[in-house]
Amino acid sequence: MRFINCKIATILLLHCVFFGGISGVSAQTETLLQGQVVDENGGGVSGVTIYLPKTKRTEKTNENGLFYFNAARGEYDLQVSKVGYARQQHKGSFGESKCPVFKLLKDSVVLHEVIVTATRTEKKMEDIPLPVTVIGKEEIQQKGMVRLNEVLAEQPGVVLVENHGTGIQLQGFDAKYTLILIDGEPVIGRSSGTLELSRISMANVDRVEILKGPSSSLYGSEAMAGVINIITKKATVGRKLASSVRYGTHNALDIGVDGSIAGRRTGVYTAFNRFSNGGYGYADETVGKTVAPFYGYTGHVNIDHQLTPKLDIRLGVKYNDEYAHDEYKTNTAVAQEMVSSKFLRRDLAFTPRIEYRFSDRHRSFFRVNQSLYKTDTRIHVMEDGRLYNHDFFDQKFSRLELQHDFKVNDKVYLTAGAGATDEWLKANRYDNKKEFKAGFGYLQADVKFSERLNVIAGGRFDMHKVYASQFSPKIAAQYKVLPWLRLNGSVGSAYKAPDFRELYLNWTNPTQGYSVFGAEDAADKLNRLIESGEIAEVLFDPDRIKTLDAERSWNYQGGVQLRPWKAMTIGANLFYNEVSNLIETFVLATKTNGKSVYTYSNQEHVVIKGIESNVSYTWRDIRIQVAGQYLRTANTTVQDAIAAGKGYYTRDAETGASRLVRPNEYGGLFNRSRYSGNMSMTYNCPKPGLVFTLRWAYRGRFGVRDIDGNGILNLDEEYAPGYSMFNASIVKSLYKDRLRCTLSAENLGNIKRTGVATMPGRLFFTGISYRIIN
Amino acid sequence: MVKNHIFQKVSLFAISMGLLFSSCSKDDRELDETASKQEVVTVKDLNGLDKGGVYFSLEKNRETEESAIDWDIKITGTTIGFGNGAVGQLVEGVLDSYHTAPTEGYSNSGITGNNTYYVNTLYNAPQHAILMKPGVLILVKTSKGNYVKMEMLSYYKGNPNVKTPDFADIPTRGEKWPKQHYTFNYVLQSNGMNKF
Repeated sequence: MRFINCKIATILLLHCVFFGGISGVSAQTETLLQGQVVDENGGGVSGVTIYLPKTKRTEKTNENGLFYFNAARGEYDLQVSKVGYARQQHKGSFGESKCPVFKLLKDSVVLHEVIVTATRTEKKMEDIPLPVTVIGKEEIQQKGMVRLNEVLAEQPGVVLVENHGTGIQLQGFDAKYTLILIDGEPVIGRSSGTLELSRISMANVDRVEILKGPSSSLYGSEAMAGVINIITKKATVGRKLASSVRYGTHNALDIGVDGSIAGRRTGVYTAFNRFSNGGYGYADETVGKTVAPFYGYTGHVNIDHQLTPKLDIRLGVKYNDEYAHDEYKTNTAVAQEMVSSKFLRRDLAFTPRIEYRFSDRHRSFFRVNQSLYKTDTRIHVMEDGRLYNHDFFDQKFSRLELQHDFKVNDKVYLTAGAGATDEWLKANRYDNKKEFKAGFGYLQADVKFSERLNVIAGGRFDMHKVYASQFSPKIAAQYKVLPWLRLNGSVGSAYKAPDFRELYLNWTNPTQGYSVFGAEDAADKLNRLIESGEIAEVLFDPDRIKTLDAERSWNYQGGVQLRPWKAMTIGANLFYNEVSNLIETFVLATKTNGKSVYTYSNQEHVVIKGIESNVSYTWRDIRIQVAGQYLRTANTTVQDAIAAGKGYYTRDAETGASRLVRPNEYGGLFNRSRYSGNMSMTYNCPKPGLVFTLRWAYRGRFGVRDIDGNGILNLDEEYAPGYSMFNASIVKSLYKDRLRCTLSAENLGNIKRTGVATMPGRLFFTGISYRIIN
Repeated sequence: MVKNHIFQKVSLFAISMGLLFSSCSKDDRELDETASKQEVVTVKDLNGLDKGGVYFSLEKNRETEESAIDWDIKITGTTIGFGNGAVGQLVEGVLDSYHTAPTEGYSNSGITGNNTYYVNTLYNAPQHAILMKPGVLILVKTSKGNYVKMEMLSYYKGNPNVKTPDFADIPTRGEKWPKQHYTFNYVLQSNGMNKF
C-alpha cells in the first residue's frame, strides 16, 4: 500500500513539475517533494509534525502518513514528532522519484534521543560523554506521576531527602548541590539549600533531563552534583487540548488542562494545574497534622513566534502559588495557646528568548530570566486574633544572557556565552535588602577528532561582588571502541557559591536563644552583643573571621556503555569527587544565657566516590531496567584525624571506658547509603491496550544520629535501617489512546518514616486523562 | 647538586630528630610503667539526685557533707564545681594513655554546658539524654595540690547501655535508670607531680 501511495503521489508530482513547473526560474530548483511516516508495523501515521530546519517550515502528515513540501531536491534534515512517540532527527534524500520513509518509534523504546542539558546545544544522547538520563512524558504518564519528586524518587543514584522541604541527594551530594532548571533557566527559592521538588508539576512537562557530574563549566554555581533540566511542552502545529484528573489518598487531587494552538509561524501553549491535599500525620494527632492541608496552582504559557525565517522569539511565563492552613497549640513552656497559621508560597518566572540564525553555521540566543519567589507565614492566636509570628522571605532573580553557537565545520562546534545576574533578598531573618551582582562568561568546544573520538572541553568564569571569582573548567571525551561499545571519561571542577544565609543571616532563635550570623556581618553583630553585655566569653577573635570562599569540587568520572544486542543496554560509571572549603557553622562565642553564637567558615574537606551501573532489557512487550549504586563518603579531616589516632573517641561496649575510634569504624557522612538500587518493569500489553508498571527502589542503611557524642558516624546503632519502596500502576487506553484511565499506588509496603523523607505510608491514586482535541 | 645537598641535610636532620624522638618515647615507656602502678578508682552511682547535688573528696575517695573542708568536687545536675581550693579543666584524651597533666590552665569556675564533658542529645535518639562524651578527661588539682585525671562514664544509675531501645524510651527511662547517679573513673597522683 505504502509504495502504491508513494508512486501515485510521484506521478502527480511529476505532472505538477511538467505542467506547472515552467512558470519561473525558481521552479527548476523548487519542486514539491514528499515523504512518508510509518509506525513500527509499517502503517502510515497521520498528524505527525515534520519540521525542516533548512526551510524553517513545519508540515503535517495526511491520513496516509504522507507529507509534502516545496523545496529543491536533495538531502534534508528533519525533526519528526507526535504525541506518544519519540521526537527524532532524520536525514532524508528527497527527489521527484524518491519518497523517503521514516519510522516513528514509541516514546519508551527510543534511544536516539536529543538532549540539551549536557552541552547547551542539541546533541544525541548516545554521543554525550557524560552520564545522562531522560525521562519522557510517556513514561511519566504511564507511571501515573504528577510531581517532580515522584519522578526523581525512582532514578538510580538519586535519594529523596527531607531538610526544609523535599530535595534530592544526587550521587551522595546534598540537595543544595544540584541545579534545577526549567527550560534551561534556574528555579529560585531554596530553603536552607533545598528546593522543594513538589513545587514542580509534571502536567506541562515534555521530558526531564538528568545530567550527573559537575556542570559549573556551563551553568556556574550549584551544579556540583549535577543538573536537572525540566523541558516543558511547546506548541506543535494544529490544535490540541487535553485534560486530566488524579485523585487519591489524603484527598490528594490534581486537576490539569493543557492545550496549544499553532500556525506556521506562531504557536501558543498553555497549561493550568490545581492540586490539593487534605494533609496527613504520622501519628493520630488530634490537633495539627505533620503536613497541613494545602492547595496550589500552576500556570504556564509558552509563546513561540517566527518573526522572520531567521528570527524566532519565545516567551515563557510560569506561575505557581501554594497555600497551607493549619491550627495547632504553641509549644512554649509559659502558656499553651491555640494558633492558626497561614502559609503562602509564590513563584513567578518570565523567560523571554530570542533566537537568531545568521546562517547554517552561526546562531545566537538572547535569554532573559526574571524570577520572583516569596513565602509568607502568619501565625495568629485564635483567641484574640493577635499576631503571634510573621515570617517572610522575598527573592528576586534577574539574568541576561547571550549565547552564540558556531559550527566551524562538521567536526568542530563552538558555544560561547556571557551574561549578568542581579539577585536580591528581603526577609525577616536578614537586616535589610541584600543584593548580589554577578557576571559570567563561558566557552565550550565540541570536537569530533574522528568518527570514534569526540572531545568536549570548556570552562566558565564567574565574577562576584562578595566572594572571589571562580573558574570552572571541564573536559569530557567519548571513544567508540566498537559500534556497541562506548567509553566515556571526564574531569571537571565545580563550585557552590556562599548563599545569602551563609553571608548575611541574622537569626536568634526565640525559644532556644542561640544566634546565627552570616560571615560578612558576624564580627559587627558580635561586637554589638558584647556592648549590650550579652556575651559571656568570646571563643574566636572576630577580627580573624575570614571572607567566605566558594565551595569547590574536582570530579573525575569514567564510564562504559554497552549494547551487545539491540534490546539490551548495560552501563557503568565510576565517579570520584573531592570537595574542599565546605561551609560549616562554628561557635564564635558563648552568651550569658549559656547558648552559643554561631557563624560560618570554610572548613571541611570531603571525598565522595562510587560506582553506578544499570542494565536495561526489552523482551517483546516487557521492558526491565535495573540499576544500582555503591557509594563511599568521608570527611577527610575526620578520616585523617582517626588515622593519626587523635580527636575522635567512642566508648568500649564492655567496659564503658573511652577509646579511640578505629579507622574501619568510620561510616563517612550522615544520611548516605552505601548501597542503593532501583528496578522498573513495564509491560505494554497491546491487545486490550494496557500498560502495567512495577517499580522498586531500595536504599541501604544510612547514618542518622550520633550516640556517643563524638559528632561522627561510627556505631551500628547510629544507622537507620534500609528500606524498600514499591510503586505500581496500570494504564488503560481507550478510543485510539484519546482516553486514558490510570490506577497507581505508591509505597505499597506502607513504610512510614519521619525526618528522612516524606513517607506518609501507602498511597493510592486513580486518574483519567482525555485528549479533547487531538 | 645543590638540591641533593639540601636533601642530604634534610634527611640527616630527620634521622637525628627521629633518634631524639625515639629516645624520648623510651622515657615515656618507662613512665608508663610507673603509671601503671597508680590505681584506677571507680566510683559507681554517686547519688546526686536526692539532695540535689553531691560533694566528693577525690583524695579520700568518699562522699562528704557540703560543710566538710576536704571535698574537691561537687556535682549538681550536669555541673561539676570545685571547692576548698581545688581547680580543674577539661582535656582531650583517654584515661589509660594520658600521662602528663598541664601545670597551667586550671580554674575554680566549674564546668558546665552542653558539649563540654557531656552531650545533651536533644532530639537525636536516644532523645533528651545526658551522655558522657568519650575522649574527654577532667583534670583536677586537689586542695592538697595533687593531680587527678578523671573520666565521667554515666549520668544514670547502673551505668546502662545507652544504645538500647529500652533506654531510648523516655517515659520509662527515669524509673529504670534514675538520673544524676554519677559513675566515673579517676586516677590520683599523690606525689604532687603532673606525671601519671
